[in-house]
Amino acid sequence: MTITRRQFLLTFAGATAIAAGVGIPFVLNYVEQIRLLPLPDIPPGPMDDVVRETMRAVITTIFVNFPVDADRYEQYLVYHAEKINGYGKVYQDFVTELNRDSAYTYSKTFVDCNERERRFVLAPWLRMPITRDERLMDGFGHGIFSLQVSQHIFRELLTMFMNTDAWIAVGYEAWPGMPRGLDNYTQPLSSL
Amino acid sequence: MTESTVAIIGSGIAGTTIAYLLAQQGIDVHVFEKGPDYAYPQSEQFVEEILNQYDNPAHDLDRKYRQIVQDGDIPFLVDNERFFRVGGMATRWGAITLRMHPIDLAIRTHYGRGEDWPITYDELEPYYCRAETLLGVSGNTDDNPFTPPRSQPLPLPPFELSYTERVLGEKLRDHNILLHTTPQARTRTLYETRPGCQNYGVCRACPLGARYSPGYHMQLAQQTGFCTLQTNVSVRRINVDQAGVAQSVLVHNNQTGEEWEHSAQVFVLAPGTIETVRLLMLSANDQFRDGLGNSGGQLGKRLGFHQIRYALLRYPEPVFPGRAGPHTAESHQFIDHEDRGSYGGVKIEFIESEPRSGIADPTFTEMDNLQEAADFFLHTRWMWFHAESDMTDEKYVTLSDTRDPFGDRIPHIHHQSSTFDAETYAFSQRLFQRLNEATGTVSSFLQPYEGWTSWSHHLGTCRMGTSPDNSVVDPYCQVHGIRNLFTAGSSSFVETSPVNPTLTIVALAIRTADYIMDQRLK
Repeated sequence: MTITRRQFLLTFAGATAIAAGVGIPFVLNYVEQIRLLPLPDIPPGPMDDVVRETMRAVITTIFVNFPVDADRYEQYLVYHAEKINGYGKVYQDFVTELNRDSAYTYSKTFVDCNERERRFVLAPWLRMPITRDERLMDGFGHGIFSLQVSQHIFRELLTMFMNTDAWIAVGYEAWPGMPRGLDNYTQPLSSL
Repeated sequence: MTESTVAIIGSGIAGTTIAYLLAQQGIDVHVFEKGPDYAYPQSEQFVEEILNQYDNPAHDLDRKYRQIVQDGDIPFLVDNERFFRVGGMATRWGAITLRMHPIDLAIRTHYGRGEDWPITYDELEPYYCRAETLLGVSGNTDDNPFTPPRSQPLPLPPFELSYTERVLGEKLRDHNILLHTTPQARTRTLYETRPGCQNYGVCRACPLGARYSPGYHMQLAQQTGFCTLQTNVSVRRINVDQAGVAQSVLVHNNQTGEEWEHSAQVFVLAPGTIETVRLLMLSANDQFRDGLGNSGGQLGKRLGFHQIRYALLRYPEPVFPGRAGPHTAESHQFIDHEDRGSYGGVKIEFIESEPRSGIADPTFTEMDNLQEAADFFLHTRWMWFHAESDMTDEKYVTLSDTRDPFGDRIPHIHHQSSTFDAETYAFSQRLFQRLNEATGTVSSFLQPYEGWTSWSHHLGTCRMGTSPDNSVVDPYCQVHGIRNLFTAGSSSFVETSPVNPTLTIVALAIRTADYIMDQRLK
């Protein structure tokens, strides 16, 4: 299955504030700077229901036009919150900020927003300011925390996507990590 | 003071092989492992690393206990290729199990360079058979005219070439280059209690145990009741008496700091090449002033790294790589060639397994279409050039003045590539050009001379030989001058050969185990 440009734009473009034709505009030099921002040294713990529900809504918003198993991405986030220092705090703080943004714009929580509203609220988080002027125009003022969200939430979810569902999306029968058997790879792809 | 009949330092593939064989015979074995335990099969690691992208630091030894000083032209951190945990480096290996060729063991005789091993291929051949049976090697040498002779077939059927490799293979054949299947320690079908491979394709964390990992035989050894495994302990010294008999090792608990001596009738050093030579040097005493086994001044010398470089071949049509985890196609056609006196042999590996970063960079800023983002991946085949290297005076391990938390000097590795290495790389370039022309690439990339990795193939420094004047261990890997002290692993290698070392490591370990049982414990 080929993903069309329109589908991709619908998934990621959302708001008009986003430059047309830009997917997930992470800027590599910012990503590299993020490596210097460690996760908070806070012990892992169970994920709050509000956080879990909101993060699920984030997942379905990001991958709205892709046939992904949202349960698997949610489980990924739950695993990190419950097993690894700092992730739970980042998720919690992100949800708090996200709900503040949605309340400011739509007077409701992110979960209560419809699909289009969610994309608009999420869009500034997905676009990292590149220039000084753009940073000044970052009306929501997420600042340095947005870099941490970029690295430890969006980049990780997208990496997971690239390691799994993206394989199916571009024509493979299965992705590495699934038991694929020892016959299919000796034959042409069935999708061709 | 604790004691056992045999004490083994290191639980990697060599140490575990010997532990298993001795324990099977009712011989009391104690294995000391510097790192932590490591689950087998690796289903826990599969959940962590594959499903949750988490490299758990608890699975490896703290860096402060494993420092290395390195200089020269090594383009990577050697320590990043070491894994200190139960199973050692073979918990992450590619599982390619190849025999050396007869000529590899007699380079000096055939090509007038380097040194001959003190054993012949015919002497080693039965142990290769046993190693292949032990590891459960899948393969078929019928399609490989370059394979060395064998007295027994491989125990399991081969992993077939992928569809794309068959297509490329036909093009290569038209240009007189032959691709064939690859013997490997992955179970093509059920073998003993190891299930057959199901092509999860993430072999570094195989949830089934299809890709061999030493944890399999370590568990079997422990189940005999004759093998004790102790983790998170560092062996700091080998205590050898005036009569040249190893009496005990000094053991240090990494977590509690407790120290004690452990005595045994026989000691086997199997902590990897770098730590083997380090421990022999640290154990110097009044009688062995320059380190154990070093009366000839050879300890630490003649270090070898395979120089392995990746290449990318890009095609106009999509080739859909990554559909198989097992290694499939290789070419051994260039392992031995008529100019091998001037430059080394090269093994060509085609890679089917998945890249760790997925089919596209998650930071794709320039593309607004997933198909476009994945274009590079879909049209590109990866491959490796696995090159022979020589062992010279400019490649060695010694002790640094820097000390670890215990106060022991850490290893210092020096490596400077040679003219031989440069000429071997030039050979790789010529081969690469042939591959490009034969298969119709639109673009390609070969890693430059300065960039290579050794994939944990750390060889030599305690070379095998018949005389203590020019070697550290004898043909059974007994340390010269100390009849109850042995090494196991690739530290005894005399030359690198172009092929992966692990099957030879296991074959030599089996041979050493037999010798210990027949000559030292009867």
